[in-house]
Order: sequence, then structure tokens, then C-alpha cells
Amino acid sequence: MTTIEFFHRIGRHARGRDFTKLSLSETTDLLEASNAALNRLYGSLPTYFKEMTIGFILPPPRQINVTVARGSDLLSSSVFAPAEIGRSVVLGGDPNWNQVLGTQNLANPYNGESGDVQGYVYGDAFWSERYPFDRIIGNPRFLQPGAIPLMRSELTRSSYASLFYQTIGRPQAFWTQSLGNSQGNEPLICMRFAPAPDIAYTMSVRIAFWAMRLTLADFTAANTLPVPDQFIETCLIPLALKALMATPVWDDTRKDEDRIDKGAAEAIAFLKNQPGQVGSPDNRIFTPIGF
Amino acid sequence: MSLTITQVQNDLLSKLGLEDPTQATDGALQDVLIAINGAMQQLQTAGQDYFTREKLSIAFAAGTSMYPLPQSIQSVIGPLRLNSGQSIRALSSRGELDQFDRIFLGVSSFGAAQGNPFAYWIENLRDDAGPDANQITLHLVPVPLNGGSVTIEVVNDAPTYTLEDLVTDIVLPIAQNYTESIFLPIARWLVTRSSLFSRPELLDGLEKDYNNAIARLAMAGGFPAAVQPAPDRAPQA
Repeated sequence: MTTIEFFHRIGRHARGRDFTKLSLSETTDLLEASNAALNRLYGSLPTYFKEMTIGFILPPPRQINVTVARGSDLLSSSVFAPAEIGRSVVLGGDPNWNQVLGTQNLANPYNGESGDVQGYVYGDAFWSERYPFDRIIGNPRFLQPGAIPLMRSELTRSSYASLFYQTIGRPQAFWTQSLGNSQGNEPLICMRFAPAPDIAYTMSVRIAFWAMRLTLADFTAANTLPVPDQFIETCLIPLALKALMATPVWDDTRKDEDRIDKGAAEAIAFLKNQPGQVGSPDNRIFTPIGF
Repeated sequence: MSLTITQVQNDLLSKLGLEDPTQATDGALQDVLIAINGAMQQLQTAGQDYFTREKLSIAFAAGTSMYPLPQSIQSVIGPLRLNSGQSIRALSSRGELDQFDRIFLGVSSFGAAQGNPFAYWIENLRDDAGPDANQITLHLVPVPLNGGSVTIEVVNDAPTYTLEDLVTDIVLPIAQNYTESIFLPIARWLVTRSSLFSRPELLDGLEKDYNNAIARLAMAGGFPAAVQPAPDRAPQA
């Protein structure tokens, strides 16, 4: 189903009962309901519906020139790319390893002489700019044949990774680091690697993503909904109608709120009943295929 | 075919007791004209569903977002359509226009950047200098990156006739030719306001006819709207 077909379906429950006549503000009500429904749908489905394996490159060290003052965590200009957020940076005059927190922000105050300094950004962090991030599922792995898998340090609170802190070479350990989303920092989380890569390494990792957001552009382009067909009429539309009830554009003259409520509850129940695994059962009691 | 303006004039003069139109004074003709124009205005304000909707094509140029519409237009009905066939959406307030990029595109600057228009704002301002005291302006956002045209549906002002028109064979533009059942009863009722009206025995009948005409107008989709309550959609007003 395309986004236009979908907006038409739920728009029949909006004031005027024809989404093509809605004002731009009213269309944002439809968007709000649609995105709420998408997230409720994927929040109730098993994780494999949200999962994909994505590739990325840990780049080699990059030289930079910046102007910075002692005690400051703010550089004079935006020298970092958004993709470099989370990576280690070492600036001349300060022996301490620092971290990139924004395009011109450091995590820690610069502890060197003020002025123009040279430094290096190390490609020891990765975060996904694709789709709303949910969580990391599997271990990242090198794509070079014969490469040794990385060790995860999360369970040992980075003690394994600490063996390689502030060293440069082929990454051997990884861990996740939260960057303070509640303080306005983005991204929510990044993957850190140690040692910091000496050359470019191609890797991949399994990550779960929330559904792509629908935007005003979807009212023009008839894009395909990011939802498997079997969940559109059964779940997405009932959940969207439920969410639409809370918006100003809801047509409350039909008095069908009870039916909509019931439909949404049935949709959630349907989603919860989906098989927990997409392939054959994979558990410790060797459940046969088909169960 | 609807009645001509001369036929209507003669009918209204007869309600003033003037069976011979050639005997009508300028004052009588003036009162008849007021009744005809008044009745036309009542029909034209009967609502967009009573055959008042007309199409208008407006060309727009790259870099220009504001387009004054002809002053003969009394209201704009949405949604608008680009020449590509795409509908564009109405904004709800001047504030939404002023902060378009901030509200709808999530950026920090005021106003609207250039792009392909997907929304519009209809601004109604008073302008005493023009032929009508109301000037409607169409704003397209984002500011058009390329030229094109937009089709809008409008309600024009009612036609205004002058004394010279009374001697012509102009056919009154009454929807579905309901001149006798809707237009004339309204015009007859209005002409009873003339100082020359001297037939009080007609008043009861004329008032009943007028009320019937208003009821028929409602049945035909006019004011009051056939579907009530009409959705509250200010940008289309």
C-alpha cells in the first residue's frame, strides 16, 4: 500500500472525510497519527522485523587544524563532520585523548596552550544516521576474509577494551557508549572500538531500527509504506485511527470511538501473536520446525 | 432559458403599480435595479455549493511567492492545484506562513525557502483604492523555484447592473434557470422596500414566495448549506 492510499483510508475519519481537502496543519495531524501507529506496530512486533545488517567503514586517522583555548570544550569552528561524533581526537599540546561530541564540541576541556593547534581524529566510533535507531543486536565483524572477530566488552564494563585504550592498530574490542540524548546530544548511542584504527576497516553489524518516519513529502509522493502487507489492514490502519482520535482533525460526529478502540486492541493482540523467530526455531530445547 | 433583465424589470415595475414600463421614472427604475442587484448578491453569497464556484488559472514565476488576485473575487475555495495536477494545502494563519519553514520543515529560519510549492495562504486585506474594498492575495510556499501555474476555484462578486443594462436583452445568469422560483421572489420582496411600493395587499403573498424561494435555495445546495454543520475550515472561507 502506498502512503497516499493509506492517508486516504484514515483520512475518511478526519473532519471533511476527504484528506485531499485538509489544510497543511490538518495533514500534520494525519502524519502524527501515522507515525504513532508505525511505532506502536513495530514496538509490538518481534525484533526481526526491525533488524538489518548494515556496513560501515572505520576510517584511518584524519589530521585537523583548529583554534582552541585552554579549558574550553568549544572549538572556534566546525571542523568535525557529523559522522565523526563519538570518535577520539587528540590535539597538539594536550596529551589527553579527547572525544568529539559535536561538529565543534569536545567532550572534555582542552588542557593545552591556547592557539592554533594540529590534531588527529581517530575513526574509532560509529553511529548510524539511517532511520531512527533502536538498538544494536549482534557483534560487529570485519568483512576482510580471515579477520578475527571483535570481543565485546560490555559485560565486563569495558575492562577488556581498556587494555587497548589510547592505542592505535587493528580494533580488537568494542563497546557501546551513550552520548547524553537527554542533554540534547546526538546520536543516542555510538559504538566505540579499541585500538583506534590505523587504516580503514570495513565492517558490518546487525542493528534494529524503528520505522522510517512519514513526512509531508509523503503527501505528494506515493511511496510504499514501510510495513509488511499482512499488517496494514489488520494493524496499521486500526492503530492509526486510534491515534487519530487524539488529534484535532478527528471527526467525532460518528461516535465510533468504541469500535476504533476495540480494533486497536485487536491489532496489538495480533501483533503480539506473531512468531518470535523468522527462521527455524533456534533455542536450547531444539523445538522442531513448524512449532 | 432564463429571463432577460428587461423582463425582470417589467415584472418588478408591475409590483410597484407601473404596468407600462415606459411610464417609469428614474427613481422607480433605480429601485428596480437595487432589487435586481440585491437578489443577485443574495444568490452569490448563498455558498460555494450553489453554483458560485469558478475556475481561475494563475501563472507564477520563479522567486515570487505573492500574487494579488483580481478584485472581482470575493473568496477562494481550496484546495489549489498545480499544473502538474498536484493539490497543494491551505495554511491556517498568517503565522504559519511567516514561520513556514520552522513549523513544517523543521529548520530554524523564518519565512519560506525556495522549492516546489505545496502550500498556500489566502490573505484578505482591505484596499479602498481599488474597485472593491477587499484585496485577496495568494501566497505560495515554498517560494517557487520554477515558474508554473496554479488552478484555483473562486467565488466572484455578483454581477452589478446599471440603468443602461435595463434596456438590453441581457439574460440573467441564474443557476439552472430557476429565475421564477428563486430569483424573482427574492427580487420582488426586495422591491417592496421601494418608497414607490403602494400595493400592501401583495405583501403577504410576496413574503410567502420569498420564504419559499429561500427554502428552495437551501434544497438546491445554497445557503444555509445542504450539509450541516459545515466543516470549520477557515482557509477556504
